[in-house]
Amino acid sequence: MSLALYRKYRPSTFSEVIGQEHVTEPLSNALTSGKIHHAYLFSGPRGCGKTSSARIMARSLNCEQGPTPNPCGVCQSCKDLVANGPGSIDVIELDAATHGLVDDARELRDKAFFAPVSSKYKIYIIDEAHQLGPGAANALLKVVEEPPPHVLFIFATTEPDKLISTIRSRTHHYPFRLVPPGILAAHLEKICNAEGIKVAKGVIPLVVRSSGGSVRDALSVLGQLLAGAGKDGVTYEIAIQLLGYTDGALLDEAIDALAARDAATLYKTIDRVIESGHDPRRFTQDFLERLRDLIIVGAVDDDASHILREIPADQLQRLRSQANLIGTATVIRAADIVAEGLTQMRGATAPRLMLELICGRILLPDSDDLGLLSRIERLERTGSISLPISAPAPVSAAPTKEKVVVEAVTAEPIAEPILERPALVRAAPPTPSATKPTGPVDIAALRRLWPDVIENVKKRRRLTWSLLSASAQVLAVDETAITIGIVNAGARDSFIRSGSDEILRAAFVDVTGLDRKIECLVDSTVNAPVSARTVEDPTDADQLSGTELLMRELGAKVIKEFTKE
Amino acid sequence: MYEVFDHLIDQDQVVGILKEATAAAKDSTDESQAMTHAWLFTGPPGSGRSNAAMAFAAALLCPNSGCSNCNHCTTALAGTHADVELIRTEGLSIKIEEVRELIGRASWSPSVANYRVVVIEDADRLTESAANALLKAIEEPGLRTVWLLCAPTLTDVLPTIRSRTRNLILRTPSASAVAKLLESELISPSIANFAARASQGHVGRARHLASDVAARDRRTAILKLPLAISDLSSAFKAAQLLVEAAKKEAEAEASTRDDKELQNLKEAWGQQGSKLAQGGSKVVKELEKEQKSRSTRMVRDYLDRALLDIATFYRDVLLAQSGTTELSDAIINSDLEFEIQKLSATSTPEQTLRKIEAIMKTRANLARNANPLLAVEALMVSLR
Repeated sequence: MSLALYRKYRPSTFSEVIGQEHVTEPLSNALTSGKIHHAYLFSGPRGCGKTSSARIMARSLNCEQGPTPNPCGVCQSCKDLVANGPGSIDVIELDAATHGLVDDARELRDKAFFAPVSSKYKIYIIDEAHQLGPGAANALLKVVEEPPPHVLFIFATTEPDKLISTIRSRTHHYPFRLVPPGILAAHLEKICNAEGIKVAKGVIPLVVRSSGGSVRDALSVLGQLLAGAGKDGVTYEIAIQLLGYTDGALLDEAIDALAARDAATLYKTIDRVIESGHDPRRFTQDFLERLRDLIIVGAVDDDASHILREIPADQLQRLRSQANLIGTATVIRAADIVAEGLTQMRGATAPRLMLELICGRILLPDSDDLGLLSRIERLERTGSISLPISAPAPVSAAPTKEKVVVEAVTAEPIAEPILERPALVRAAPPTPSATKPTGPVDIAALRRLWPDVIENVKKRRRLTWSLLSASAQVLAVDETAITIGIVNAGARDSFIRSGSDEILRAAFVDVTGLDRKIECLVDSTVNAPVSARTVEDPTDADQLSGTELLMRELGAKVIKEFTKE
Repeated sequence: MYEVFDHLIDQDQVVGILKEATAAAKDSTDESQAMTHAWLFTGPPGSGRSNAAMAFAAALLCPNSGCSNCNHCTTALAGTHADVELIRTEGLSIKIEEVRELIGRASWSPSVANYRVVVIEDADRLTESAANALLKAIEEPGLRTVWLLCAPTLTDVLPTIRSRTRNLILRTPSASAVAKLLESELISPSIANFAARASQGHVGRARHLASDVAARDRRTAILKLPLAISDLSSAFKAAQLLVEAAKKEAEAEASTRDDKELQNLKEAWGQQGSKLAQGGSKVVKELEKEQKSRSTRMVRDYLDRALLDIATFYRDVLLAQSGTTELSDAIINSDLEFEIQKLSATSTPEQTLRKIEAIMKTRANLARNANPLLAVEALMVSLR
């Protein structure tokens, strides 16, 4: 068994570490000038050189010529600490994940005070430091802060935030980064040459893409490709097949089906994806990437070739036409759904089912706002809306009908604009007569909507609004009319004279869907209905006797009456 | 040579890679990258991840590269080979204590064969600290140690584990391949076909469905549960039926195993009369804890399977609603064709989709340790 590429090509000096100049240069300078700190923290994503750099640091420090950024490679320490070497007794590499208990830390602390055996420094490399338990980390604090002069700590971790802050504050923190594609590609090509295997054009970018910028990921994938190399090296086809990338034709087919909103074709495409042995997850990922490309093409149009450098011109043309066909909003929505579906595609679910579910979501725009929709649907089915919601049609039609046939309205399927007024639906509590679709109109609900009606009136005519806003309230509602109470006779007269009742009627139609005649009374008890939205108008409730109140609010029934003694 | 791989269904590409790796592993002069020290097998449940890993282990250990007859092969496949460390759990997770112990053993030299192979069947069930503990061991194992990890998808393991391993993707076996396999096991074509579809490429489940009439009936009964829901009370009843069936299944399994295990353990700790040897009660307690965790998982797994089955039914409805006729092959529950057609005609695709979403949400809730009965009741009410 030959060594895996990522072990074989592990760097042994800082100059061999790629893509981390922002870390390696300051460290090299520190080594040259001899300004060595006693504790370092290397953090960064997987496979970008943290552990390797920690080992290099140790090697550079313990070299007989050292501290130097260029270890001599001749002395015993350098030979011991070279990549894949036997290791040195003075460089102790600990795995915090397996030695993360407080006892391990105590032991380390005790041993740290012994002088190194043969080198200048005794160096503790604590890898996966985020797995140090809280006890262990705290036990280390003192020795990390003021270690004996011969001891140095290097912490390496993928998750520096998990390391307690008191350790972090005692260290010099060097964050590593993912490696940019250009540098990574050059590095991979060098390794392919060193391995003596020919790699077709276009394969390296694939490897870079699937590695996501991590050198170790890239080398793992490259190793897999080199293993599958035939007589003429790694061809593009072999790479696509081994990495499981989706055939561009399948993606095109799926996108076209999406553009045409053709569910049958889309499901058929999925069928083909599965039957041809593609990984559904991979397909989803590639699909998402294609959607991303479409978003970019749709947004920048002509300059897209500068951003999507790796896509050839003819395919860009196709993307452009696809983007035009679908429309940006749909693409973005689809991308959202796919991205979310991708996170759900784990564990023990049949991936095909998930993929089909994602496509179903994309194709059915109304499947969003699930809660709202299902709520309406439930109401629709049980018919418990006591406030009849009419379709918006009566609004445009001249509101001349004296009576709205309530049955017909509730039985009708709810039309779209209703969705914009969820408050209305919520405002209508089921009443005891819920089973009958022709239940009485709920005055409480109407009162709650009163502020909205007033607002609507304001848009229609300021005069009417000023008459109503501070001094009117809904008194009653029945099959034919809505009765309004206005606080004084003068206001009522000018209300009627100005023809405001038609305005109010139109406003009621608009807000509640109720088309009723407006009747006006003088009612001096009406207060400004400021609080109507939140609380039932208290003065009004006070007017009712206790029995009436109970009957109205709770649907109580009078069973028996007693006289008070 | 390579006969051990014959049991993998419809995985030609993966088998090809494994054969080359085996050949490279046997050749001490080999310098190619064909063989490496850490592999990650991913694929949907039932595609044969662990079978692939065990077969690979056998091929590595067998002097004839996996003849499937010799002592090495048979013991490796059974998981009892001296140089195979097999980690599998029937509980909810693999804990760090187990992994720590494993790491020590993994670094030993092989005793009888050329390699020491560590197989972790449920790498997705490693706890976070356990997975972290593996990192160093997986990255730079001993010269003759090979790690084989299995997980449903790449995202089920830590990215740091993923980056240290070579990933092999097993495909979902096609329905025709599964049906062919079942037919070769003397199962009538129509049943084989049904089982292959209903299991969605899960070979073990297909075999179970094909060979057990009761299992088929149970599945149909579960599928018909939501169809019978008309009002609240029937919804609650359906939920209760489902959860009780799950519990009963788990109990039936447990009653045959738990007592026996407990008895054996107690005997091993010298129980005569009522007294155990020192330390025995602790071990017994641990076993009881493990059994409890196992039965929790069984209830959960059963419900999850049932919910998925119901989801496939609605998925069929959705497919029928898409208006295609060419995909009649793709209908999973062909035995319920009438119900599917009926429901697809009387509901909208949006409703169907919402029901599937509700099922998926319930599954997620169950995985997050929701009370099974409450979760299923909520689901049944929304399936109304």
